[in-house]
Formats: sequence, structure tokens, C-alpha cells
Amino acid sequence: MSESFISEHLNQDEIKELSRLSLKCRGDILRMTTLAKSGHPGGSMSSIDIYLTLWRYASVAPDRVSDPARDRIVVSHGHTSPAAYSALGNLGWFDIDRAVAGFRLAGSPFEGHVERVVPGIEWGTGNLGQGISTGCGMAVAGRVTGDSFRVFVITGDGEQQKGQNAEAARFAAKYGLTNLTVIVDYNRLQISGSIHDVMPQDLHAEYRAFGFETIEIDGHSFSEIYHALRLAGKSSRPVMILAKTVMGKGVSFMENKHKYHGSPLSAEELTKAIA
Amino acid sequence: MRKNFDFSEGQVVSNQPVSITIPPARTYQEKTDNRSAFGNALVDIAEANKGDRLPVAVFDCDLAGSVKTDGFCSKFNSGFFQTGIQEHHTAAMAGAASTQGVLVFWADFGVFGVCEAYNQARLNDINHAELKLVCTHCGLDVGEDGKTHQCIDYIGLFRNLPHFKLICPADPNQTDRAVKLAAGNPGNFLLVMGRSKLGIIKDESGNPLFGGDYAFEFGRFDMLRKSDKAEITLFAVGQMAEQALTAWEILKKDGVEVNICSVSCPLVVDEFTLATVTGNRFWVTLEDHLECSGFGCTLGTYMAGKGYRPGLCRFGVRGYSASGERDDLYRREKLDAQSVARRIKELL
Repeated sequence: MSESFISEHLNQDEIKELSRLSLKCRGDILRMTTLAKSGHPGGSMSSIDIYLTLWRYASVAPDRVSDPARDRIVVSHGHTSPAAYSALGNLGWFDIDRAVAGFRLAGSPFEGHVERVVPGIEWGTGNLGQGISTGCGMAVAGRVTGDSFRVFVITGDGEQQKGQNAEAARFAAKYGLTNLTVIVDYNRLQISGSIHDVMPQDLHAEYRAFGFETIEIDGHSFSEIYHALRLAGKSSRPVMILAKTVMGKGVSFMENKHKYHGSPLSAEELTKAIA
Repeated sequence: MRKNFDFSEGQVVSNQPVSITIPPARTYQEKTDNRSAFGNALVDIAEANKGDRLPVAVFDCDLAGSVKTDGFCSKFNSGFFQTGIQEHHTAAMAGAASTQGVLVFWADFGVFGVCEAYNQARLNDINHAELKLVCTHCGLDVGEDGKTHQCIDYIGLFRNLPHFKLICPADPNQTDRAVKLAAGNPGNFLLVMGRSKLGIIKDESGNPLFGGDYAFEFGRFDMLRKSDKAEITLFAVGQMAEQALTAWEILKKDGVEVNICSVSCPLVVDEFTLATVTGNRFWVTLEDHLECSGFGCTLGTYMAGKGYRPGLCRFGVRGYSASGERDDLYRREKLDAQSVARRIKELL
């Protein structure tokens, strides 16, 4: 079985280190989007703590990108690429400065939406609602080849509106894909505003109806994220973790503002944000 | 400052490899449908690779009996996944699975596998998947199901997916070999076939042209009939080879000689074969596909680039068709052998 999330809890030193990395990553997210004059900082800052915990404690490593037994981490909301690149770069998968400088630059692998050419990225996404199906495919393949690994899919909450997620969830439950864990970045905002106004949804009820176990956590608490991801690995059903987060988390004037879904800061705002 | 970074190296995507033993080809002597030949080839592949773990997965959207994956299902059930009427999910899932050390087939009707899940096919293409997508009931050859079930745009749509290889086999023998070629080669493949039973394509001596030692080669045209006196070459896409050969017989009786060329890979031009018939007055394309986006466009674009002189006539489907038997629909679209022979004579 996958050797991920081995310790029962994170210790204080680990939480301190993750907090330090989180601050660094948030700065990098803002720098790369401002430098590129485009990108999606808001959702990146709500997902970053989940990404850091996953890529740090799942059974993955830069020297194991082709290891059949590695865990698979699928980013479904590909527009949170600044967060994915920041987490991977700051955890040693590549030089983070290349990602900051090359973000959305023609010819660079660090595209606006995640692509497989970036080490650590298992699937290119951008069209929303594809990640859980992708995760099911990887889980099914592991069953066929006999490789034991976990599959983590991080999705946005807005993209849960797409019907394909329901198709994928039904399949995961039918085939008992207990190694599949879906983490929803529940920041409750999408381009047009509140997800509840755009299209009401009850994710707990929907996923339970499909046959999933569900867990609700604070998506900015490293200890809660870690504990939920560890617990999900022991479940007899696929698991959906609803991670309550804050769009733009970490910069007071960005928090809970949907305009930062797809708007970078100006140079002046960036200076203010990272001061 | 951004311009000073060099990103030219290291942009490689690699999939987990899968080792597949390709079984010997079958030779069909009697009329049968291409989809049955696909189903038999799939079982052959599984038989040749069974062991502790069969590295093959087959996905089905509630149509196994029609798309002929039921034989695989009954013999190799652990590799068979019934995904329900959920084509979008299945397309994405099958593509992802195909990158993970597993040979993956997804079989469905054309309207679902090609038209309904085009976005997912595009994402599979972007992600360098290795999916073997097999679509039956393509063209007007779907039974009496009517417009909504007629996938008449498989060439036009998949023309836009640069990493997909499209194969439209002419008969059950070529189907057998095409399925086994796709299984043994990397990348995404789309195999297109209709519903009806087809005659075996034979040479003038009556021997199966695509049976025996014939080796299917992706992108090669097969000249089925050739005459030095021919002023026209008829390029038949996929299963239209049968209509083309019947048209050839009709024309021969009327003293008209034409070349018949079978095109199984309509997004590719076999320039070596074309070079042998550049002196023709006309090149005619025949396809169970929309005229406006099919092989006629592939050939026309190539001809324009080369400055080739033959006139180009495209015989294909011109719009949404009716609900009825294949032969009646072909007659309505003037794609049956009699109509093709008549239209060719009108050219001369």
C-alpha cells in the first residue's frame, strides 16, 4: 500500500515549516501572476495549503515521477497553476524562479493551465470537471496492473456544477475505488460571484448519495488537512473532503473577493500585499 | 528579464509503458461485419496476453452487445468496466487509464464516442494519451435510427486532433489487422466502422486482398484495381470499398475502366500511390461521411499544394439523412454502386 501520511499527526516543527512554505508560495503566486499580467491568484491562494500538504506528505518525489507505485495527484481546476507551480517549486521539484519568470510565457512549460510537461503534474486540465474522471482512470489502471497507490484529485467548488463529476462519482462508488480521495477547494466563489447564487449545490448530500464518505475541514489548517487525507486512506469508500477555504487567503484586501479569481495584482498592489 | 530564461529543454511527456504480445492475424473468407472482426481481434489480444495479470482494460457504455465487446466481457471480466451511459466520464477516464501501463479500448457508437465526447478526446490528445477508441455504427450505416444516430463527421472532427490516428478499415480482414496494429503501437487511435455485414474485399482472382500475409500499414493506400487505360481513380474510404468494387464491375461491363483505390487512413495522403495516377482526368472520392469535411478535403488540399491536374469530384453525404436501411440511404445520397457508376460515366 502507498506509504503516504504515515505519522498520525503533524508535529509543531512540521506545521511551522509548512507555514513558512505557505507564505513563500503565496508571494510567488502573486509575483508570477503580476509579472505575467494575467492568471488566477484568488483560487491559487485558497488551494495552496492543500497542495503543499499533498505534495509534501503523499507518496511522491521528484526522483519518482515514473515510479508505477507513486501516488497520483490530479489538479482538476487547472487554472490554479500558480499554486501548483509554487508548491512543487518550493518543495524541490524544479527551480521556482523558472516558474515565476516563465509563467504564461510563450515556450515555457509553465502554462496558464497545468500541463504534464511540468514535473509533478499528472494531467493537463483547464476545461473544468475533468479531474475526478481522470483520477478514476488512474485508480482503475492501478487495479489492472496491481500497483498499490492512492489517487488525490483537487477540484474547485464551482466546477462541481458540471454533470461529469456526478458520472465519475457514481463510477468510483460502483467500483469501490477506495484509494480515490477528492478534495474540494470550497472557497464559495466563482467568476460571477457566490457559488450559491450561480448554481445552488449541496456537495455533502450529493457525494453521500453517490456512495462517498465525506469530511469537512478548514482548508487552511495544515493539521486538519493532513488528518483528513490520512483518514481518507483508511476508508472503505471513496472520500470527498470539503475543504472550507478563503479566496485570496493571506492578503487582506484580496480575501473573499471574486474579482481575484482571474485578476492579478498591479505592481503597486503587489508591493502592498507582500510588505 | 523573462526573455532571458531558456525553456527549450526537458519538455517531455512520457507514459508508463505496456508490453503487449500481438496475436497472429485472422483471415475471413465469408461476409461479416467489421465490428465482429473487432470483437474477435480483442479476444485474440486478450488470449495472447493473459497471465497473472492481463494488462488490458475495456470500457463500455451500455452497448457491449452492439459494439461486440461482449466476448471480451464474458471471458476476461476483470478487465471489463461497465461505465453506464456516461460517455463524457468514460472518455476522460479511459484516456487517463491509457497512460498508466494498460492497453485501453473504449468502444461505443460513433455519435457517442466521436461527437458526444469530442472535448474529452481533445483533452486526451493534449495529454498524450494512448487510447484505442473504436466506434461502430458510423456514417449512415447505423440501422434505421435516423439523424441523431448518424455520425457523419468522424473525419472532419478528428482532423483537428493532431495526435490521433484515424483508421477506417475496408473489410473484416483489414479490421482485424488494424485493431492489432493499434494495440501494438503507442498513441491515440480512432477506428471507425459501420454496422452492416460486408463482403470480403478480393483481388480479381477471388483471393482476400486484406487476408493472409497482408500487413496493414498505417497511411498506405491500397490499389484494388488498376488499369493503364483508366482515366479516373475512385478513392473509396473504409467500407465504401465494397460499393466501389461493385461500381467497377458495372463500369467494366459498360466498357469503362477505372482504378479503385482503398483509403483506410483518410487523414493521411499516400503520395507514392497518388504519384502513379497523376495522369488521370479525374480523381473521385467516395465516403460515408459529410462531403464538406471528409477525405475529399484531405485530398483536395494535398492536390492544391502539389498543383496536381486531375479534376476532383467528391461523392459523400450532403446533409442529415433519413431513417432507413443502409442501402436505401446510400441510394438517396447517390453513394450506392449503381449511382456511383452512373455519376462516373457522366464525368467522361
